[in-house]
This record gives sequence, C-alpha cells and structure tokens, in this order.
Amino acid sequence: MSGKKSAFDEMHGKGGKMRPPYADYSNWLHAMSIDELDRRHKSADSIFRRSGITFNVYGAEGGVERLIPFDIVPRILAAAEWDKVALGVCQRVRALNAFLDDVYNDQNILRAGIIPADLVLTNEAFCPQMLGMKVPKRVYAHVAGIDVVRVDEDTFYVLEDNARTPSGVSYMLENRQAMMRLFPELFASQRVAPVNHYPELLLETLRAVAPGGVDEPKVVLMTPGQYNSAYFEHAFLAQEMGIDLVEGSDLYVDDATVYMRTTKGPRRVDVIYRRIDDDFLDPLAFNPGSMLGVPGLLAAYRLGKVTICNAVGGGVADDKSVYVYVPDFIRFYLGEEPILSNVPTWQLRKPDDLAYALAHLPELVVKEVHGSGGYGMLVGPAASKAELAEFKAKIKSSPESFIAQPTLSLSTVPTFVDKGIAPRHVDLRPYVLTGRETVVVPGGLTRVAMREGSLVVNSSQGGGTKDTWVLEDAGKEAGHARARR
Amino acid sequence: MLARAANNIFWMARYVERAEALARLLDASLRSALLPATGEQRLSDWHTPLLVTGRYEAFREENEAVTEGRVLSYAILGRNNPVSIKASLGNARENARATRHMLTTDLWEGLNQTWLGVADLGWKDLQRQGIVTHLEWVRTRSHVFRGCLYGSMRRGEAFWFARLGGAIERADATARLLRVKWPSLQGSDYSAGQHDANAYYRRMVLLDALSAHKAYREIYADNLQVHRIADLLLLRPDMPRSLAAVADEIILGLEKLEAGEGSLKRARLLRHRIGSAQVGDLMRTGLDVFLGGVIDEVADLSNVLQTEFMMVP
Repeated sequence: MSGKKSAFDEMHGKGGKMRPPYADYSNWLHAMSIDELDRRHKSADSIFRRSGITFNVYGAEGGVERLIPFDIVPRILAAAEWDKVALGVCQRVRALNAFLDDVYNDQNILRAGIIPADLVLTNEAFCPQMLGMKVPKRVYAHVAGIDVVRVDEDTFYVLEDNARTPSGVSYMLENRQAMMRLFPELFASQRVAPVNHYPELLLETLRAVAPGGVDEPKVVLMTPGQYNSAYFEHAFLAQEMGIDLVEGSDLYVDDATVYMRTTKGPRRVDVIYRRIDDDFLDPLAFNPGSMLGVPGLLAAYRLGKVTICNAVGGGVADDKSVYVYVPDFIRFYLGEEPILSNVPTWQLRKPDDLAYALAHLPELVVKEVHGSGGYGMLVGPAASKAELAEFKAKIKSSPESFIAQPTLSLSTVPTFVDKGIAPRHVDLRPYVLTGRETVVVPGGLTRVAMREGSLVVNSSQGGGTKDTWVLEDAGKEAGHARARR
Repeated sequence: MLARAANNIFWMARYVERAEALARLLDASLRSALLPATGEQRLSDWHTPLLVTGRYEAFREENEAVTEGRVLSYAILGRNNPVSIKASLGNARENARATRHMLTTDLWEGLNQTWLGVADLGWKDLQRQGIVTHLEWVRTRSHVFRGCLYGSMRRGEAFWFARLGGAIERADATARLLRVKWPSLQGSDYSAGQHDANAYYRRMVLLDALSAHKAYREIYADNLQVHRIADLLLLRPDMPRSLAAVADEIILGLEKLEAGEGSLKRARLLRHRIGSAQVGDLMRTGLDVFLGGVIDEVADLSNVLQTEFMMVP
C-alpha cells in the first residue's frame, strides 16, 4: 500500500466532494490568493521566532534551536467525529490507569492470563519499586497523549499510547494563538471549540492528586533544563499555570519531605509534574550517574509525601509490545468494547508473526518496542533494498524488540507548501488528563509530514504541526468530553 | 521565588548592562581615535577596551598587534571572548530563557529580539551596517530592556533582582571605565590659559559615553575640568550612571528584597565611602586607589548576595 494513491483526504473525501466540516473554510480559501497566504505564512514564522517557540535538536553542538514548521491550513473535525475520538481516547486512558494500578498491586490481569506475565514483569519499563504502592486516586498516567490516525471516513485507529511524558501540547496552544492572530476572520465566522483552558485543567488535575491532608498543594514542574528539546514547553506550561519551573538541583529531600530552594529559604513541594524520565529522577534509586535528579525523591514518593506525575513506572503501559493488549484491558477493567481500534499488529516475538513480517517487510512498518520519536523505525514501502536487508538482520537478532504493522494510508489534509496547497499526511495527538476524572480538550495536536508522500510526522524527523479545529454544533455545547471513572 | 531563578534574573540584567557598558566604551574609543594624536596615544585608546574588560592578556595571545579593527571585532563579536557584546547578549538571553516563564512577554520577546539581532552577525555585516550604528543599536536595545522591565514587570522579587543586577553591573562598569580613562584626561586646564585640546576632547568623549555631557553643562556651566567630572560621575546621586546613584539603587533593591544584614551592611558601607569622599582629596591621591577599592567592594557584595539569596541552603 503506498500512502499516496489511496489516501483519504479530509477536505475532499474520496470522491473529490467537499466534506462538510471544511465547507466554510474552503470557500474562504478559494477567495485567498497564494501571495496573501504566503504573506500570512511568513508572518506566522516571525511570530514563532520572536517569541522563541522552538525545540532543541539533539546532536548539534550545544543544541540548536529550531522552529517546528507550522502549517497555516487548519485540520478540521466535525463535532460528531471528534466526540467518537474523545470518548475513545478517554476510555483508553481509563483502562491504562486501571492496568497500571493492577500490575503494581493485585496483578489480577496476569493471573487471568489476559497478557503474558513475562511481557509485563520483565519489561524494561516495569518498575519493581512501585509494587504495593498506593498512588493518590490510583492515577498513574495523569497526562497521556494518545496518537490517533485516520484511514477513511469512519475509521480512526490508535497508533500509539504515550503514558510517560508526552510533549507537544504547547504547540496545540500556540498554534491556536497564532491562527487567531493571523486569521481572526475565520474564528468570527465559525464556532471553533476553544483549547486555551488546557493549562487550567492540567493544574486542576495536578492539584487533585496531591498527597492526602494537603490543603493548598505546592505544585512544581520539573524540567531537565533549558537544553532539553521540549524546554520551551516546560517554561510555557509553568507560566500558564503560574507554578515554579524547577530543575533537580532546585529540590532536595529532608526527612522524606521534598523542598525547593527559594530566596526565602526552603519551601515544601507536594506535587511534581515531571518532564524527565524515570531513570533520571533519583540517583539513589535509579541511574546513579544522573545529575538531573533529586537524591531521596523516590523514598519520599513511596511514603506518599509527594506525588510524582506521571507516576513512576507508567512506561509499562505504553510499551509497544503491551499496546497490542490494550483493547483487552478495556474489556477486562471497564467491561466495555473499545471505541477506537488498534492498528493490526504482528508481535515479532511470536514465531508465526515473525515469519510473516520477514516475508512481507517491504509492505510493513516496523517499530522498536521501546523506541519513540520516529527513531529506529522502518517504513517498508519507502525503504531501499539495503535498508530492508539491514533491518531484517536487526529483527532476526532480537525479534522480541520489534512489532510490525501494515503501512496505513494515513489521511491527508491540504497543506501550504512551496508549490501552493497540496495534501500531506497527518496524525492526531489528543491530550488526556486524569485527576478527579478523565477529560480531554477538543482537538489536540495535528502533526503533518511536510514531505510529499512521507508518513513520518515526528518533529525530530522534519514533521510540522497544524491547528486542530473541532467545530461546535450550532446550539450544542461540545465542550470537552468527560468520562467518569 | 526559586533561588536559581533569582540568580538567572540577576545575571540576565547584569549581562544586558555589561553589553551596554562595552558599547558605550567602544563608542568613546572610536571617537577618541578621531582626535589628532600621536601613534602612542592612539594605541592606548585601543588598549582601553581590553583593559577595562580584563581581556588584554587573552587578546594578545591571539593577536600580534593591537589595532582598531582587531579590538573592535574582538570586543563586539570575539568568539573566544566571554565578555564580548555578543557573548553578553547571548548570556543575557540564556538566563532569560531559563526563567522566561517569570518574565512578561514584552521583556522576554524584547530580549530575544535583541539576541536575534546579533546571533548571526559577522564582522562583514558589522562593517556594512557601520560599527557606530551597531553600537548605538546595542545601547537602544538595553534601553528597550530597561523600558520593558520598568514598564511591564510586576514590582515583585523578579523585578528587584533584575534592578539589583543592573545596578551592580553598572557600578562595576563606571568604576572600571573611570579608572582606566582617568590618566588620559589629565592635562592643563583651559583656565590655566593653555590649550590642551586633546585632553579637553577626551573629557568630552568620556562624558558623552556616560550620557553626562549635557548634565555637566547644566550643573556647572563651566568648561570641562577633571575635578568637576569626578564630582559628577562619582559623587552626584542624581546622575544615573554615577557611583553614588548606583549605590543608592543597590540599597533600595536590597531593602525591597528584605536582604540580610550581610549584604545591606556592605552596601551601606560602600555608599558611605562614596558619600564621604571629597573631590579635593581624590584629586590629590588620584582615583586609582579609590576606584580599585570600589570595584573590590562591589564584587564582594555581589558574592555575598549570591550566597544570601541564590544558593541556599
């Protein structure tokens, strides 16, 4: 399957007929000259550059700051389309949280044989220190990014779950700001569901999971520092929430209590929204070489003196080998049928699946089980003979490290490129928050593969972003879908 | 406020002030160089920026000769010069970036714009736009920074740490500049009936560099005499770049921040030392010892501040 030939275009549909959510926008677009679009596109660029909305590229000396290409054509979803996605991702996150609570406590799911115990217990991301610990409200993945792709009018698949420290939400917010500045007329004529309240919901979520008995919890955002690729986002969210942006060296633990060093002396910290991996949290418990962490943090956490968000050890729920079982989690924990399906997946640790994958490699997408960010991934149809051979060898030497999926023909959305407006493949990452309840703001981050025909949307691989619009039905408040636990 | 953030904000302001001070100094050097002078004097004009910034030795390791072009390029852009204008603006911006969530959009974007204005600047670009134009631009950007600070930031800790950083750097810069320039201002005064035009112009250039020329005329209504210049730039509390004024500003900042006795005592001592100085005495003993003492005290104060506020516990 090549992405290009049979892709579903979200504006024009399959038969070239304008789809309703895009009707108004398309009229407006036709009245615009390419020169005018180009002018506004350039002014978007300068808005982002001036405000320093950048991500850092690893590998380059000292870290180079780049702009993520921002596309000025929005991705538009009708309220009904969004509702299904929203209910689906919330359902999924509820199941992921239930799964984490279970594997770190009763392990019912392992006893029931729904998922092979060794897949969980010997998983790199499984954290034995979390066994038997009760986290507040039994929530582990407070912030989850669920990557969703669309293949036709009615079919959305969940491509990947991100239950550790998903990033990109600042682009969702800044893209909307930029669009409102660039195209105020579009927002005046259409009802686009707002997303700007995300930081407030996030703060509410973080406060809700503070250790018991704390009335006015002190919440901080912990960053690896300003050379981290997502530093802009860390600073942005801290500012929007009005909380302190701390690094490991700003915190210390005394008598199992976490303090931050302030100009007025030590100040107790109750909730840490960390944007740093498990491994680097606490040199005493994990990576002893970590300069980023806080010695004694895990011990304080285990005693319930501080809440870490997302919870330590949550990675075992978003591992790609575990992904296959998430629909079963939904049935097992919630007694519901999954609203959104998984992409059919071959687990190469199984001999039959392995044999199939090796025989059909040029058609498949192969991913590393623990990989992320589009690194260590093979897109069969786009790979050269040499790349295929090289990957084949890698798979054979450690099949359990890989999964394979059919090359999906991701939907396309018109995108402003050098030659004018042309279709480009997109995905969607809604951000799902769980504190007192599980909520999601309408839309999320649409990532777009800027290169013609490319299916890789990751910013580290040259992907761009779009503003994502959920159109509200006239007379009906779309708001954010809420699904009670 | 987070101790590290206070440190970042303090240094953000120091670095902007440092870039401005160097721009003023280079501008003065450029204009001094236009004066008729012996080769030796001319050479000494271009030693000044290196001496004031403490980079003379390091510069000589890389460069055979001290020439106008080399000094300018080193002081403005110098890759291996940690106190070049470009390095200072870069450091200011990095410190701001580390705390951008605590700064107003005006302040952060203003400083980020300033950095973008020099980030890719090379010597050729600099020559094309004109060195003097560029130095004026640096001064203006520093004014923009201060304007954003005063005009948009809440009068909270961050604001006062920024003001404190600016004042401390300015105290250091004024003292260093006067200390190095003072000998070149000497010469017979007009009143003695002799025309030492050179010394006269040097005095004018120095006053211009510190935006103090018009104030001099206004206050003294006299020709340019060294003892009045000392009075103006050291002792008058109404001159924004004078030592007396910056010492007052330091004390104000410390009081607003409810600083400990360690730093406040030192700041008051410094202020007292400046306030009780007599121009006549200074003229007799020379400024070198006095200004050397001020520079040391300011550095000491800055260190105490950082332990008091910024590296607890």
